[in-house]
Amino acid sequence: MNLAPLFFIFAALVLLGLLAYAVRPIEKRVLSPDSVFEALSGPRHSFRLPQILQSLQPSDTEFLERRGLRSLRQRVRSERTQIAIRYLNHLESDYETLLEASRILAVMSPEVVPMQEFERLRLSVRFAKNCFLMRLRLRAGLAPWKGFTTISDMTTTMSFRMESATSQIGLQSALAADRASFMKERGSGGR
Amino acid sequence: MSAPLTLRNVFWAATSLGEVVLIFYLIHRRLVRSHLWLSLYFCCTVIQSALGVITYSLLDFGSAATRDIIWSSQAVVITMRFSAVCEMARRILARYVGIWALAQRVLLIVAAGVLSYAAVFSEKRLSLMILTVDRGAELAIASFIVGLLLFARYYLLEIDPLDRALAIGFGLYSCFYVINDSLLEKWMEPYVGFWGFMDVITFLASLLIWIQAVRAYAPALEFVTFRSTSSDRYGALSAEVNVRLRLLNDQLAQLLRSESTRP
Repeated sequence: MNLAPLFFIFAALVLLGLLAYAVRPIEKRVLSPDSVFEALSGPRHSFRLPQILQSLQPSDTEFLERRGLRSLRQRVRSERTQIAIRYLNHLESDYETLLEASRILAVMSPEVVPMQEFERLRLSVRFAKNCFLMRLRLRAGLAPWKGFTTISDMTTTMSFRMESATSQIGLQSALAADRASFMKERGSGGR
Repeated sequence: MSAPLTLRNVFWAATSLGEVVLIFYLIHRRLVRSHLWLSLYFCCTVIQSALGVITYSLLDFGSAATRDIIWSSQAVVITMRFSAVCEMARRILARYVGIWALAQRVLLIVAAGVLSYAAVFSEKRLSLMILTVDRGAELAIASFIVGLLLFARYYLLEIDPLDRALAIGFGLYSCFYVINDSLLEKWMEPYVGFWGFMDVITFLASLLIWIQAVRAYAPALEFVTFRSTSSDRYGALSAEVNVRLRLLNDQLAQLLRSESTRP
């Protein structure tokens, strides 16, 4: 049995789905470079990580159990889980801001390094997956320590990549400026 | 079979008329220079329609000469369409130098990969070979367009409404063409006439999208892009973002260090 036509129909349907996704209006407000950089300078949610991790440790609420306040302990843990989920949302938002800044840099840059772009794409997919798993873990009441560390690592990696990218752009623009002034000097000297 | 054939001829005439109208609008709205390959593509489709009428009236429908003429003209039309799509990609992305350099490579690799994949997985019967090549080319064009739009979406790039509508029309037509061809190969071989009718209908639908876009949307004015900023400003921005990112990174590193000291 020849399955090629079915493969082609499936491929075309997938492409139609992607086309529908790609032409949807962008819900996210496209920020100007200045406002993205402004947002980057704002307070980061990630600096609350130790408190969040501490609050999720079972040992942090064990004393309530020892004092016979089991229901209170459960309520406290449930509230702390909700706070951790909200923290995760903010962490995602921080990451999105970083991503947006990196996209703006890529758009501005006269040269884009493909490997870095693909790496960023891969990191984003991994970040989204880890956030999803973290939410599931938190809702299921499992220990989220390891997952949080992974997500924070990814944000750090992204910052390193951004730094390297911006350094390159800065260097290129400085070289371009030097070249322009050199050419200008040469031009004026020749006359 | 005569009823669909008659209806097909009516729709065929309608598409030819639509093509002429579209060319008129392209000239009237002074879009020919900026959309040169698109204009040439529609001129080719008009010529192809005229050639089809002449060929079918002079030669036998099933003859080898008819087949050669029609499929050769189809090869030219597909090439022109791909050129129009490349031109559209250039219009959308070329103002972002770095992104454009990357996109050119990625999109061409994707299109070539899809074409090769289609060739490998297609039916090897000689009678279906042309259909297979045709379908592979359409799938490659559709992948190219979808890749282009995903690229633009990922980098949050502004797309002129006219180009967006053109891309939708091209994408829809190519996808439905692939589906239509595959249905013909799998189940509809005895209904070639109906297949031709569906092809005309699909093209007409895309044509209406394009006519509406060319008629309604104003030609794109100069976009305000980040590239228009001076190199001094560019350098200052990158230095500023560097400092802020370093601060953020230091913060995170500090947090991770403190976390690792936990029991």
